[in-house]
Amino acid sequence: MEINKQVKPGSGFLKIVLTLMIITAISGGILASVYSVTKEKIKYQQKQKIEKAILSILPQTKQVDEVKVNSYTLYKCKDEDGEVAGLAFIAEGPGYQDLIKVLVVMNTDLTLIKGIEILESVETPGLGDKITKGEFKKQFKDASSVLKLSKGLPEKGDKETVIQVVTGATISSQAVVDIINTKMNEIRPFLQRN
Amino acid sequence: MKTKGIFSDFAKGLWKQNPVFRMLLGMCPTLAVTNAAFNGLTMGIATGFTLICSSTIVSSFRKFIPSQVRIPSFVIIIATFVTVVDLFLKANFPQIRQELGPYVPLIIVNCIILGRQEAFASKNPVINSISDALGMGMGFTCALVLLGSVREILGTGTIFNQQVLGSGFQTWTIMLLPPGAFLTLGILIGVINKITKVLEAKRLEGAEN
Repeated sequence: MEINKQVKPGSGFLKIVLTLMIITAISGGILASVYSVTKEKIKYQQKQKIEKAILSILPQTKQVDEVKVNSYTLYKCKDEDGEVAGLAFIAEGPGYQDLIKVLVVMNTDLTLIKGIEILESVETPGLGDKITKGEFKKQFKDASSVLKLSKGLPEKGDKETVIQVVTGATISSQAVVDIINTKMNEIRPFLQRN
Repeated sequence: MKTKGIFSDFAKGLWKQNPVFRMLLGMCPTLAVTNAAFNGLTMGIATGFTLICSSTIVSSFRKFIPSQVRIPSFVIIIATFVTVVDLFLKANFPQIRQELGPYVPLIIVNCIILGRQEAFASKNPVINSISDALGMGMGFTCALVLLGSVREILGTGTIFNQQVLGSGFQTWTIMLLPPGAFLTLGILIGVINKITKVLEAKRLEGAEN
């Protein structure tokens, strides 16, 4: 009596296991080799992205040195005389859709934010992604190291720099301000020691 | 080797069995990445490349893959190629890779690719399978570019980043968002259905005379 009419002759248990083993082994091999071939290039592209962002904020930067302070990575931006022109770090946090990665460049006293760049974000096109546009980013030029978000105009007595929301319809701009403030609070004790 | 069918295997993906407008497959990336014509083009090429490679492998080894594990086998093969494409883009075209975002890994579950393996590549010779994949890939790319162009022109006044509408044009931002995608796709499908009906009627008329 034929119990399973669909089984092709020879498709026994052994053949199934062997086929899948071979397919996954070959697949694993291909992926491992492509990964190792592209690994350096991908790391290079990511470094390029950070350096380009730093350059757009501090044009006098000629070299970027990566340093590790405790578990935090900082970027020392050196000008052509080898003097440190600014310090940069990357802050990450949840946005509306997914994580937002912000590059924050500060002056050497850590009192002013020289500028920001949005490295990664997947916000709503036309609305939330306005945080990647110059209009929003230029508000961070020479901003205080603590930020505040507002829909309206700055009030009298505001010690912190007030960032205008991109639009009331999305939390993207709030997310950026929160991400920066949070990271600054984390890093400030370490930065001041150096 | 079925030589007669090779050209028709290719051509059907362009119009008669267009994966987007007639078979309604791969809707997720179709709607998601067509906010600009160039994004649609890149996604179409990436998907087409994966489809051709997968069909070639699946068709070459179709006699060795047991039918009980054919779907997992197809998925592993497809996933390998998509990851290769992803790593390639990350290394050489990082800006484009960022534009496409999460939708590159999602090519793995694009119904068109899995569907063609199941419906065609696993049952046909290699040349025919490659031809079928080429046709489907091109049909998909054309559909994406068409959809992307309409949405880009109405949504930002540009096409392939070239300004085509004057600054006096009030852009329809909704075209850049999901509702605009659905509306445009629906209207395009309706238009193509109408064209197909008219052409079919003309063909029947011609046959009668």
